[in-house]
Amino acid sequence: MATSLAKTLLTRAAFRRYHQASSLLRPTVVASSSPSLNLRRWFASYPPHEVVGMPSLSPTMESGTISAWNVEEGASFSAGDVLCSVETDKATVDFEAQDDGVVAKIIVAAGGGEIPCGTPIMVTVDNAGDAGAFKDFTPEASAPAAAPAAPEPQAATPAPTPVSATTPAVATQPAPSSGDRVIASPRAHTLAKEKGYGEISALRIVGTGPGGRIIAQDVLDYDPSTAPAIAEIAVAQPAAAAAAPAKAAAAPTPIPQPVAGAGYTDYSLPQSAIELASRLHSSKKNVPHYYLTIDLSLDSLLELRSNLNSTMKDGGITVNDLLLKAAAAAMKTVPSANASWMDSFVRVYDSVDINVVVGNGSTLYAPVIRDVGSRGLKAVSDDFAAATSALEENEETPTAAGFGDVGTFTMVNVGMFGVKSCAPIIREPQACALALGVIENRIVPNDDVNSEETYKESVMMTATLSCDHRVVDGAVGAQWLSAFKNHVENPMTLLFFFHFILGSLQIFIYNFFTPIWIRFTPTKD
Amino acid sequence: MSSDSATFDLTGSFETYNLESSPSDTITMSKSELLSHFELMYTMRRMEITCDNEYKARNIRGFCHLYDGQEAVATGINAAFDPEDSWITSYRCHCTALARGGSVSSVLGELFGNVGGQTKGKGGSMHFYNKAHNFFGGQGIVGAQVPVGLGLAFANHYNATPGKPMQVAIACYGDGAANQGQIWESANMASLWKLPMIFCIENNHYGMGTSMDRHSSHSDYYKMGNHIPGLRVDGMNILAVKEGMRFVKDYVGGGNGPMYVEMMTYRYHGHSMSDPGTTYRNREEIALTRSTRDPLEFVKRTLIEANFADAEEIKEIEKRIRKEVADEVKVAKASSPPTIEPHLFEYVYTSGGGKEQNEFPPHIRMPDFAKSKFY
Repeated sequence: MATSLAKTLLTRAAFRRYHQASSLLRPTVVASSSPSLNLRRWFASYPPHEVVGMPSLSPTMESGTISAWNVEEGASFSAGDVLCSVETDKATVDFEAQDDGVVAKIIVAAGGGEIPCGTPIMVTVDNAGDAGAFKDFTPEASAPAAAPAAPEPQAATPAPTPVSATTPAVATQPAPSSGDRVIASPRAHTLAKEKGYGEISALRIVGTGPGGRIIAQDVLDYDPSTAPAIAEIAVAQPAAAAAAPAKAAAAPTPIPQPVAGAGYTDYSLPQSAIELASRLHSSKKNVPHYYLTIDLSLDSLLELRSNLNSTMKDGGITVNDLLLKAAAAAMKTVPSANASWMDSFVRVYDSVDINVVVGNGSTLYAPVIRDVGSRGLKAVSDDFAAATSALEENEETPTAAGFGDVGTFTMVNVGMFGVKSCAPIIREPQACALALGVIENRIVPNDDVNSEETYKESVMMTATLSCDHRVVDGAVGAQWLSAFKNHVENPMTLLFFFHFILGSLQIFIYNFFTPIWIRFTPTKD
Repeated sequence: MSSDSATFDLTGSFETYNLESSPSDTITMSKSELLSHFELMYTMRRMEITCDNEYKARNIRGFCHLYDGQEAVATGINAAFDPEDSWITSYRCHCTALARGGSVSSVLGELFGNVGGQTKGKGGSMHFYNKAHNFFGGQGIVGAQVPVGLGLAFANHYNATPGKPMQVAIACYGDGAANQGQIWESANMASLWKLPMIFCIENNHYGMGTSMDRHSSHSDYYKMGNHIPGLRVDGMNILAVKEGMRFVKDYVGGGNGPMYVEMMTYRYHGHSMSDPGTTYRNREEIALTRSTRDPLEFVKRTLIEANFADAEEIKEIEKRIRKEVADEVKVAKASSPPTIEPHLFEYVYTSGGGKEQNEFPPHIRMPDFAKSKFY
């Protein structure tokens, strides 16, 4: 008796397991009567049920949050009843039932965070008696609605497919995978077939039609003898990492001439320009910039410069050299600005290496002047002069020492163009960048008590400091800029910093305000 | 257990306008016929619910206008008509496509965009078409189907055999479309030339989201034809619809000119799948209609009261149909989307090439392409 019952249950369970699909519409089992719940659980199979996924309640809905459930487990509902309220990005929409049924299990609770469309949220059954069997139900697989969507984007990711160097260069490798659509006109397709080129997607033609479409002319211009070369290069580079470092290591190829089009001209970019562009982009994206501006009065500085140049033989001290020293002096005063953000810690550098941005007409370079802080003014001046002269000599990429290196601080001067101020982009991994504007005569209030005039003329310049807020907070940046102004307007203080001992005295006085990350150094236990 | 046919009372289901006669107050229907109607209506209902679920699962994209609640109209018209009568309707056409030569797998395949669909996956929800069964769509523009339906009526009139009743043409449109200008124009032509045209307004009381009182100054749509006779039918009652359409077909096919038919019906879903359907009407109203006027419930009750079937049998039929629909959905999903070769360019030109190669009968005067060559 028991064995025959067990046999019947076995076949029924197997039958039910066949029908157990985690799809939204499931077939109905013909056998409706069932034994007690306990026996069903023995065989770990569930009665006929539907796993309901998060519905897409508007055509643009990608994910939603269940804000409230209107039904409980075990409750029955009829067509038109609201099952739950779903918060979409646009509005809170009610999810209605289309059929009568009973809630067997609620998988996602209300307020459970944003879940993508298709993720199972509840299980419904037809018979109220079946509802109790789902206490331990877990959705086995993710909803099939998500599955067809998921393989498509994965297939469509452009294939830097790791191709081993030993595979022969086949013209179809690495063709865009089946998910990619090659945009070409029907005539181009036909032409490609006629000419025996085969599938147009394998040809890697760059389209010149609207929107980059491959048009008939492109297929006619296509020379199959050049194709294997492209495929070979693609194969030879095992694209484990980005192809950029490999390309940079290769010999620089001559830049092609600009291509004129209808109403535009395309200029090819050398690799250095592309790298610079991407560096700037990532800088602006990753670093939280903020900007501080201050006006500097250069009267005393210019006086010091003319004095120095007249007393020193082969003088050649420029305003720029003095400003470099002033910046280094400010760094000594506020050493926490001479630092780098290293994700989990901050690195403060001992010496001040300044990248000075110079240009030779069409390109910008930023040679590094090493250890501006402890070296003499003359040494700094000579370094800078050497860098600029190297620039004038070499029209192509200057390979002088220090041209590609990264320092700890950047200075850029845009004053030659008459620009009053500039907010520079910080060069990662530095923490600050200083931009200097045009040196011009401005009218300022006269602080001479004895004079009759209420105004006077002064040679002024606007300086803007960009700071990385992760390393240098507002107070520290302002301190730095104020120290810089102090050194520029009282240039005699620059002379103090030739001596290390006096320098440390200055550090003691100025460092009342420390950056937050220094304040939080852990105590030694 | 059940007698073969029964007579049902239809008093109160009709209102006439400008008509001396009216549909009969009773209808006799056999058990097999009523069961077949029930099965078709239930298939339509399950199919529309499936469309809803599949749309929410993002397997169907784009436009999707559902017909559940209005099944009796399509089934009744189909029951009263011959297969040679022409039928054209609006974008709410899934169930009409099913009734006229379609199957659940071809309808859903079309919605999924697969080649197995009724229009090869190239039409979608609003562009079903089945010439062999005289179903002419499936139209996206509101009210555009009526002048085309008039043309079908004209063709039927033209091709009529003397002595036999004409085949009729019916254009179904909604209450929201009823005030479109071209419909008035069509009505004039139909009445003038006494064409076998039926203007069928499926009045579900809402034009998208605007209720009838707010979008139409004259809401007795069956009287809209002025001198054209009209008939108002309870569109939730399959028997009334069938009897009403039988009457209309006899009248119109007999060469008496067009007729306006207003079907009082209701849709449970919103206008389309992007409309929740509850911002301009109460849930109570929908629930009330579901509980008191649902066409499927009516048929079930009728079957039981006439002793054609008992509740168990009906449940069995329902289960079977649910399974069939689910299987057909699987078949529809298994088909694949159309490909560039060969599907994309099929049915763009007539077979044999472009317009130069078409042969026209001599009485069709085509332009002289050699002279007017600017294309």
